[in-house]
Amino acid sequence: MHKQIEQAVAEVSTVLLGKEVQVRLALCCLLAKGHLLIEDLPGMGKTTLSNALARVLGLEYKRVQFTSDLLPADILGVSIFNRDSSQFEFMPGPIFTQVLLADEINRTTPKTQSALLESMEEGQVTTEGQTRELPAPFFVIATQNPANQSGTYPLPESQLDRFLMRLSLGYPDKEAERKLLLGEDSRRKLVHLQQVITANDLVAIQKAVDDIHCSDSLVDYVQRLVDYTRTGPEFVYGISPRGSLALLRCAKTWALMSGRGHVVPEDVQMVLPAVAEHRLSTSLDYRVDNRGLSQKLLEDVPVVV
Amino acid sequence: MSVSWQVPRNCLVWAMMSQVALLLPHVQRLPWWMMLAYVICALWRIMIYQGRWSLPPKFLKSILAVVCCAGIYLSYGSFIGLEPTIALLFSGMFLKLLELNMRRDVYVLIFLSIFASLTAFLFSQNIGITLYIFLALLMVVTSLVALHQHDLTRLSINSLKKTAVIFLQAVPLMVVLFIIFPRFEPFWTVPSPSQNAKTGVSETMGPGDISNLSQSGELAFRAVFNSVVPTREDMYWRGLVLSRFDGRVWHQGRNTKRLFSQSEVSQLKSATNIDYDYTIFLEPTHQRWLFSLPLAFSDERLVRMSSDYRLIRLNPVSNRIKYRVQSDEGAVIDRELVPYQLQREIFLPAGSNPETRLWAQQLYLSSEDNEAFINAVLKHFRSEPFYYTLQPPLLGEHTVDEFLFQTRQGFCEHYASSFVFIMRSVGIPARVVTGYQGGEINPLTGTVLVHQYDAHAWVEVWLPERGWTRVDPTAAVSPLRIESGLEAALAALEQGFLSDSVFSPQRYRYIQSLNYLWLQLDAINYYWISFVLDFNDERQVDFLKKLIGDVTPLRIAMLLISVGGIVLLLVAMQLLKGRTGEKSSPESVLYLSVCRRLAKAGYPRSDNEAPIDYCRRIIELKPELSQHLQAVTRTYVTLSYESYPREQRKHLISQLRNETTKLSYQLRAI
Repeated sequence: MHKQIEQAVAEVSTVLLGKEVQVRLALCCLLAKGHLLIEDLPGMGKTTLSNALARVLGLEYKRVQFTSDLLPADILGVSIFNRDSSQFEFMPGPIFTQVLLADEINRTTPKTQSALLESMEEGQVTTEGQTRELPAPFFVIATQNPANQSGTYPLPESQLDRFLMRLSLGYPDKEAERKLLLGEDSRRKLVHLQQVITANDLVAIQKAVDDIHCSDSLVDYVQRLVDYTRTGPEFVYGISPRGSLALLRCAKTWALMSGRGHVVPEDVQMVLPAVAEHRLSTSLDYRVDNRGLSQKLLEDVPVVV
Repeated sequence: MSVSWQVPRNCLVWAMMSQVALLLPHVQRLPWWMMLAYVICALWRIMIYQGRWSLPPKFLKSILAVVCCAGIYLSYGSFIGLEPTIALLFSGMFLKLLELNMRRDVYVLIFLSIFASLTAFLFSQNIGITLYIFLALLMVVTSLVALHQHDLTRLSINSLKKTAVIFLQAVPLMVVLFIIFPRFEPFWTVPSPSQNAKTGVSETMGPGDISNLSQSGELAFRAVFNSVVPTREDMYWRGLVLSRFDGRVWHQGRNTKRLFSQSEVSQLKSATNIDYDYTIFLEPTHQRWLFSLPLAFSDERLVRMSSDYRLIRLNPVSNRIKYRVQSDEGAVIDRELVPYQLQREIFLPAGSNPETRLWAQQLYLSSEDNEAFINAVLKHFRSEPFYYTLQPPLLGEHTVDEFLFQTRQGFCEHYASSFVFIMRSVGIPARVVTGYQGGEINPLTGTVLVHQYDAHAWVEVWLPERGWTRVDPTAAVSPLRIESGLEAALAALEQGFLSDSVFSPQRYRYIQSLNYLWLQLDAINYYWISFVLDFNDERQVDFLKKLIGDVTPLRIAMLLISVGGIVLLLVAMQLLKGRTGEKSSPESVLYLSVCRRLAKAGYPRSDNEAPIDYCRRIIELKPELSQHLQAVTRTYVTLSYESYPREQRKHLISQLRNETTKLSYQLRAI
């Protein structure tokens, strides 16, 4: 199992060069049954990453480009009158897939953003009074432009909370960029990516995550971290119980991906920025960006040994 | 509009609640418009908080301040005195509500509140008000705590809890300071409250004075007996001796205010044998005379004996005082009267009450001697239809005549006054004595409680060889009053007891459980008085002597430091304990010892660094440690984050111990 995961990471890393940590985190997010939000400037490889992940996991993949005039029906589907059968027929939207790439999700209106809500939380879609199940593993990988760019509708906190992780890719280092410039076109390489993890494997991995052991002292550490965000003066509001559950689940998955049967504080520290940053907000007195915030959280909360 | 600093809501609510709490004990003393002013200021502050109104401009604030001062001047007629000063303090506190522009202003408000809380003690120091002010102070400090708490936009009980903990931590210090802080004589005298000046027995006695007093259920004094307690009929607490009659009102005689010298008193004392030994806790009367059983001696510093054998205090009793008294019930007082005394004690204003004089002289002619005459008069009171009542009819010019021959309804002052008049009209020296008669024994403490409704007036008649002898004409008319007290006497007459004071607890004494509760409260108050309020400089020195031997500044300082040190040590231990958490597991102890050794070698682990990261960092710096350090870290991490059966755990711990020893050898070698 560990071998398969390593292989998947290696496979994705062939198209996204020099971003092994981000690739691992993204994979961790999906293995932990969570939705992923990737925030970065245009052209940093967000789409490539999501596409590659879908291929490696062997999942059905659809992409929706979110624009300001996109409507909920454009995603969920719509009933159309069929002249042959004289009946309305439901034409499923792009959401009926296993991996949905919601590209530039914050460029669309809140109305359309919230159309994703039910499907992300419940795994089902309700339109025209009828509820339809989505296919079994269902992931939303959303990308968004930084909020200070023009033409964006920032996602509300309630919606941000539904994403298990938020990643940002960042510029590649010099060496990786050079390789990128000299190498093969990544779009062509994508097509050749092998499926490494089957649907059965995925179920088995997700089951194995549940069996990872968490000691009391580790749960104490997680609680201390969460508590700090709730009482510290730097934070407007703290991490919700959903957030602390997410943190522990991601730490467990990370432990599994590292080939361990138990969670150690390093796992928590590793996943914390991705899991916590989008759930936190600085109070006005502390003008640092959220990255500084999670860093401060890690620095201030002691790992009691 | 500029954004201004806003008082945190939590702080504001607590501050305003504490102000109301501080105001309540003074409601009766402050003018009514002050309450209105407070409500207006508070509403204004709430409006400012909600952003509906703005802060008052400077000129308006000045006007408000001037109006408040003028109002106080008009209400009291002066700025000097206790009540006007308190009113000024409180109005300043209210107006400050309109001026909370920054944090510093809130400090001023809170410190004002703390200062204002002390003013309640100028009027009363009983345990109830003390506890109440303690609670009010708790609220004041809560607002101070709330001012410093972050981001609390709602009223929070949490602040109160925190303050309560602070208060509890301060209690030992408070007790120590209470015990050892030097009790100085006050540097200045606080003017006494004006409203309380007139309670208790007054300097003169006219018709209706004592019946008015008997409407009050207030405590006059407590008496604690070290000897046997006298029976109720014998408890005549003498206060004043009234010898001069102006036809209506009895006054103190001239030349009776001379005080005996110490030698005269000790000479007097040597001839007596003491029956009763007791201590009296007198409530403030703002007068000089003290109450005691007949022929009383007291060794207190400020207490002297006057020439009419009463105890006099050099300073007026403006606080509750305590004095110890010894009494000889059977002593002969004034075996002989010198002519001017005799003259004084038989003087009657010319032409007053002619009928009485005539009647008395006729009766005297038919009596064998003075004693027989006295008995005849008492018999007259007993056999003729005289009534004992709280509501006697009003009397005209010749009060004694009207009372004896027409109305025949009176309270003790009528009987005493007319009895003395009768005696004097036949030349027997007699005088009126006022004070209290009876008292109630609290079975819980054994103290005798004497209330204002026990006020009484009786007669002393001078007989040759026997001196001044007590005669109580009221006993002839209403024996119940003397044997069982006023309440029983009035009940027998079907008249209401304390009918004017609906809220007096004594009025409801017939309810058993209420009476018990009342006695309990009295017992608590008694202990409060005798152990806390009465802890003066003498008792302080006695107590400290018992505790530390000689009372020197050095020893006191050592006592203070050691008690304070113990308290701080306990607090510090509590704080440190909170940081390290509960008992450490064996693997943690071992691993921490490794960390300590590494830190000594110059590679400390930061608090937030997890073991594996730490190990990795050290190995990069010191690759030669890699083998053992990795083993230690691996074993430690699996032990603390993985679950193992007990046997395997034991095995792993011993393994960790081995590795730790090896690593520390290696470290020592470096």
